[in-house]
Amino acid sequence: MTNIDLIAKNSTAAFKVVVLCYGNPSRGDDALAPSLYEHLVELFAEREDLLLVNDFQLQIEHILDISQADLVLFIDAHSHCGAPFEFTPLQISHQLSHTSHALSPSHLLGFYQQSLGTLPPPAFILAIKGESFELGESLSASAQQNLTKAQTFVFKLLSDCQLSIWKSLIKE
Amino acid sequence: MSYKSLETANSDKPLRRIAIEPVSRVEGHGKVTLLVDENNQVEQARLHIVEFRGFEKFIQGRPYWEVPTMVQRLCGICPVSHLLAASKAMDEVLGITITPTAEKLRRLLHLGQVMQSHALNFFHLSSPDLLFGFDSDVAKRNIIGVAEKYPDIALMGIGLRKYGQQVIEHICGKRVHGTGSVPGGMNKALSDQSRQALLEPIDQMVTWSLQAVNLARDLYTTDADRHENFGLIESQFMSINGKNGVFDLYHGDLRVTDAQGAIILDGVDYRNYHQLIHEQVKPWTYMKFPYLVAQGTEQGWYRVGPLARINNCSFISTPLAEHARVEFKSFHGNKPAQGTLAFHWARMIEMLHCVEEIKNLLLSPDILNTDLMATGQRTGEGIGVIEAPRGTLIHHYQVDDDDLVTMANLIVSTTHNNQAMNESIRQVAQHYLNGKTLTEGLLNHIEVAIRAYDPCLSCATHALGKMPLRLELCQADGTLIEVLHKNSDGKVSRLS
Repeated sequence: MTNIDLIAKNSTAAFKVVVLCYGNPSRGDDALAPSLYEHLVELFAEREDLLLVNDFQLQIEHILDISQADLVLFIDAHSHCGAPFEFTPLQISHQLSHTSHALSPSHLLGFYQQSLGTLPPPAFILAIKGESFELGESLSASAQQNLTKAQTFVFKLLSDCQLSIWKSLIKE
Repeated sequence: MSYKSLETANSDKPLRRIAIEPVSRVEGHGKVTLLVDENNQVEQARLHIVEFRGFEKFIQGRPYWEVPTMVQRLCGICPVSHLLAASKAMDEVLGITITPTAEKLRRLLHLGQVMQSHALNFFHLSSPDLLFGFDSDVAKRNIIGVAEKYPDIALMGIGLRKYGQQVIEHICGKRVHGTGSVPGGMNKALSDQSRQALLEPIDQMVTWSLQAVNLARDLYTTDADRHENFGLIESQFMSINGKNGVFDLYHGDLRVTDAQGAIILDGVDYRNYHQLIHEQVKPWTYMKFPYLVAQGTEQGWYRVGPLARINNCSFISTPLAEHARVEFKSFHGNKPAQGTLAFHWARMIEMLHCVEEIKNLLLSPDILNTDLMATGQRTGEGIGVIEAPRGTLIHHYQVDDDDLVTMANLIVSTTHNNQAMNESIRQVAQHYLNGKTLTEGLLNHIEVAIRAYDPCLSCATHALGKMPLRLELCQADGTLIEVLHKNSDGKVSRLS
């Protein structure tokens, strides 16, 4: 058995759907995804098909969270997306992230393919519009509104976790 | 000429200044400056680091119970080390001996922390140099490149780090910046579900850790002369050890050995650290230089961290790590290993011990007990010391009658190693850089020496070793002569 097989065997991914929220809760609207994570935990913690993950940033270890999943949803705050949020499918990238402070979701998927030798599961990103990312600030008023709308959308996604359904919601 | 003379240039010749900034694939920001003459002879080499003294002021005036959680914010890589050192100090402030189960949970937490940090340093940050060569293609010299060429090794590192993070998550509720340890004990018991989840993959972790020790050993002993002499300096070593000199990362007394391995201080209560260690200030860096008071500033410096701990301890309590330690000692003729790259081998022996001990603790009958908080007789001062991944970590606090902190003093592992890191880069500079046209590959030799110490320069700088790097050659008067620029994609370009 190779390490790749063992990783799969020992991974946390007996879950069909993985929701990976990331952001720094101490940096203003970067707390959007961690805030949404808290709501999701309250509502869905008991769901056995769903793995909820919250972290400061994406790192290569997260490939182990998503291995063997059927669907993956990344949630992040974004300064350049449209309000209140954008929901888009992710492409695999094999180029390193520019800052390399952490991985982008596309780079994580690329690293997944490179390391595990298989295609990663279909993955989407929900980018929630944020405005201010200063250290020590709380969520801005507009981000709070965007969060509420994003929350409703995620509930809809998680109510029917099928690839075709998620694809049909891309332009919403 | 000894490399030691390279601390301060003593030359009347015009010198060029070269800055490596930032040092890449380490935790945080640092820079190296070199002064070279017209023949590229290195006349001066210095490592500069910005330390976080601001935190000590920031803590003053805060209630003592906030401090362990607050000081975690010092670092995104080893927050648990600060959490535990502060908790131990505040236990003393409260006059408390924590319950046996609380101590076991703290130890478990600490072992998970050391494990994930060691895996990060060895596999993610350092293995690209060791596997591909110090001056190999910079575009491939990173963990992504390792995953491409050696996927099993990369995944082993990822799996080991992930497991250490899971230990932390199960105890603290989060992978980074959770709680768990509080003044007086622990605030949450370990559930049986968590215990089972952590036990399930533990034998795989033992197997991987053994493979990691063998990998580190083989990388070191292949071309042994080169590896032993790379960054070779002669130093004393300091660590805490448990009873009879047993390897212990969580608690013990201070031991110092000399360069030949003779014990020169032993059984020193760490609460007397301020009588043992003073710190020297030098005008060219923000970071202080600790030294043993009895030996003075010139002779009193020492090294801490994995190399110090494996050199210093009399034995390791877990069998596989002890076997690896004996092999390590035997390879070095039962003398202290002094080669800077030996840090990596020692680090992997420690990781093996962590995994073995995590298993022991999870199987401990009282690990699920809920008696986690104790009470005691309040005092006004506390000192907590642990062996953090990078070495001895000292937290010292004074608390007034209103429960507010009035004094905080932190001596972190990287500070202890300040002189040693400077000595190592000078040795490397003299050996590898003298008289050569400086390239990215040659300059990486300096960074390889620094990475071996796994310095935690500050948090949140980068994770994957692809920091942009700018190398400037200037006249002594600051006139820019030449610039090399390494982009974040690894490509190096000459800008002038």
